[in-house]
Amino acid sequence: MKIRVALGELSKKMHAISSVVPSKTTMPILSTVLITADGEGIELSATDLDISVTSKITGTADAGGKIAVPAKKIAEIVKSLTGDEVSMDVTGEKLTLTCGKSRFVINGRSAEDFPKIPKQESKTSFKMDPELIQRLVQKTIYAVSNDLTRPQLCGVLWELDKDGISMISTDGHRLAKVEAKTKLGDVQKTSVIVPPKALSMLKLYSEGEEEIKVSLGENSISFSMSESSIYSRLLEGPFPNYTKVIPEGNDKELIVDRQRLSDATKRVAILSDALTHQIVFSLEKDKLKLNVSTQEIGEAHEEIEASFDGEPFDIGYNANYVLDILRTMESENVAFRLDRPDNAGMVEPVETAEDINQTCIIMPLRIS
Amino acid sequence: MPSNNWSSDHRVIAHIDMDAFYASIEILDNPELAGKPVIVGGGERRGVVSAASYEARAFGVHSAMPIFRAKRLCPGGIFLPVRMRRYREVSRIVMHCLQEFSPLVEQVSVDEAFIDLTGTGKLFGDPRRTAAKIKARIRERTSLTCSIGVSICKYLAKIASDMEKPDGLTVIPPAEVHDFLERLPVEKVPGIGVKGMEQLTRIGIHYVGDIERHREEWLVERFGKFGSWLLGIARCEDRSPVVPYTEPKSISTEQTLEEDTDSKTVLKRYLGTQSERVGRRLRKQGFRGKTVTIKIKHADFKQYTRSATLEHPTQMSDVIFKEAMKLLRAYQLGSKVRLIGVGVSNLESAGSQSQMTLFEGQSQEDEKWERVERAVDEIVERFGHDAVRRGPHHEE
Repeated sequence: MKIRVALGELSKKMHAISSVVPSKTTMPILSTVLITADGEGIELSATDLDISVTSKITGTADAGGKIAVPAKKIAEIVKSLTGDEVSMDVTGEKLTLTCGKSRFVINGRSAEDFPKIPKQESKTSFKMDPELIQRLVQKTIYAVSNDLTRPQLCGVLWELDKDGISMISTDGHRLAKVEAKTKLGDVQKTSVIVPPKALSMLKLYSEGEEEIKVSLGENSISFSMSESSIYSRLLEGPFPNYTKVIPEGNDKELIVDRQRLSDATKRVAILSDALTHQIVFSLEKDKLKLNVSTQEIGEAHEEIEASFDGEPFDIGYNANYVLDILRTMESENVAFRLDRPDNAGMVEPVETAEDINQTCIIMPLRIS
Repeated sequence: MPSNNWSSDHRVIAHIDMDAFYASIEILDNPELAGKPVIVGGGERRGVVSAASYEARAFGVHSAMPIFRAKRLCPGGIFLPVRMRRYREVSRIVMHCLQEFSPLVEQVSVDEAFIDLTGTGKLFGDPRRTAAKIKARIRERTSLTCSIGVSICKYLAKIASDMEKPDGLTVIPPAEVHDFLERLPVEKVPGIGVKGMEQLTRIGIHYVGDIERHREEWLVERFGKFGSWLLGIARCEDRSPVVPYTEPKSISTEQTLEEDTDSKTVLKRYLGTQSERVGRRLRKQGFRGKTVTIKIKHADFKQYTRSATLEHPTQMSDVIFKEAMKLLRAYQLGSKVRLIGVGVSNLESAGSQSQMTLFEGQSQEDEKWERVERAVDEIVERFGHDAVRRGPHHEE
């Protein structure tokens, strides 16, 4: 193999693909990136066995071939280089990388040892606007659980039918749900659980794309873009019945400026308990008081204007959960629809986006 | 009396160290052992000396020495197993005595504590008299002796308590501190290890008094943080307060195995009982922890720990055990193991500020198990450890 590629593009693509590479692995081949040059062009591939990414790179192939080389090292090398063009030559299992007056000879591995990148056998496929997917993902990915003992919660549930898509995530303490109306062609009603790593990769690779083709297989999902594709295994369900935890009849409504609440929460949370991050919302007539009192550290109080017209009451939250929600909203104001201090609260944007319906559920902290 | 000139700008700190605590309790409970070399420690076949009576120490036996060596040094010794529960019971009485003299009591271990007596002069008399009263009260309530050191800071008090052991009482009043340090060999300072001492002797520092003869910049340049710490010691700048109670950072237990093993099935049995014990202590002290750690010491004394963090803090033995087992399964033994332990850290107090959960099933299930484990705790408390045993997975 003998290829020449532009340094800028190689550096960007190596950086992106190395985030697929697992940081710890018992299989050394997984820490490599596979470089392939053939009649179809030059391609980079990486996999952690659950998620695989292939990404095309423009350049000239003087001779075809392939080799697996340590991904992080190559990414580090190309990041540190200055110049325009990089040439890569393979002799045996060694890759010689030259750029200007710099030359690196890197020990690689046989491309034969590299796991086969699965080809998607798709049952269903549809096209989506990359920006819409990105916004939906951003509004749900934060609530994904990382509790490996409940693997079904470690992903985002996608509910699809021909008229739209919903994404739902929960870690058992909070829940995020978004719905978007969008024509998905002849998609049959179905649902899948997508691992968050695949969604982070999707964000990375869908930047600047016109459209994304999503294909669903038996237990896999793949995203195809103009120059790259992502293949991921799906998580096994069942996802819990989330509809029954979405509260109905929460009649205490608090409306507050999103940015102000976010700033105030950040400030008072500085003194919150390092483990629970507890802050207390004290709701009073047309005001919201934020209180933090941590025995060994101290106290913080802040008051903000709000619209509230009910009996005053206190409710405790994990400040990070509140901030996560506020961060994912785009509206000026947010509405907290609450019930009792020990019941789930619902948070929604007041000025709803035209295309997305967003609902967040948050469980309180029992106030000490 | 030199101990009288204690001006009001100096603190009065006492360090109380029980004399050969475990061994003394054994003798207390079995008076026939009095005057004999009593050695407490280890299981039946293994382990190390936890405590030795002064008679045993005369043979060169000291704590942390492997039992087999103690047996060689002192073949006529009386070797007894550790009865931690009993020692804790006596320890509680000792700590209560101290609390009658000042609320500022910092328990360092089961047989050692600091007490801040500043401002108690009007109540109990000068520091020496107060210390004598403390000794008398402990003796009256427990029939045990202790050694007390009194001075203006914690480290001097600790050094002082060691000076006239057993049944000692040493006071270093403010006016004598300077002369005392001048003649205090550096190896007596807690915190200066063998390595530190070697370094200091090499540059001619033998006594604490020698330290101040060097320039501060030079000491710091040569020893870094250790240098400025040394100067603090020499100038007696130890302001560290007596802290009545520090919340535990972790709760753990470990055991030297009866016999070295490379069988995970055997280790599993240990982890089972240990998780049970750690869970029980968490529940009793009202904590939940998020990080589970196992500790493995191999026959060659190389030691490893493996940790995992849980999604939710727990105080349930079963959750701790399952996590510990996951860690053990992932651990490549390689060689035989001589000690295993399990601990839970990242603690938070249970009950307060607990995050509620969305899906009832999960929390109800957890609460149900917590109730079960608490019920078991009560039974164990009343009828002992053998009254209830966990079934299948611990005995597999």
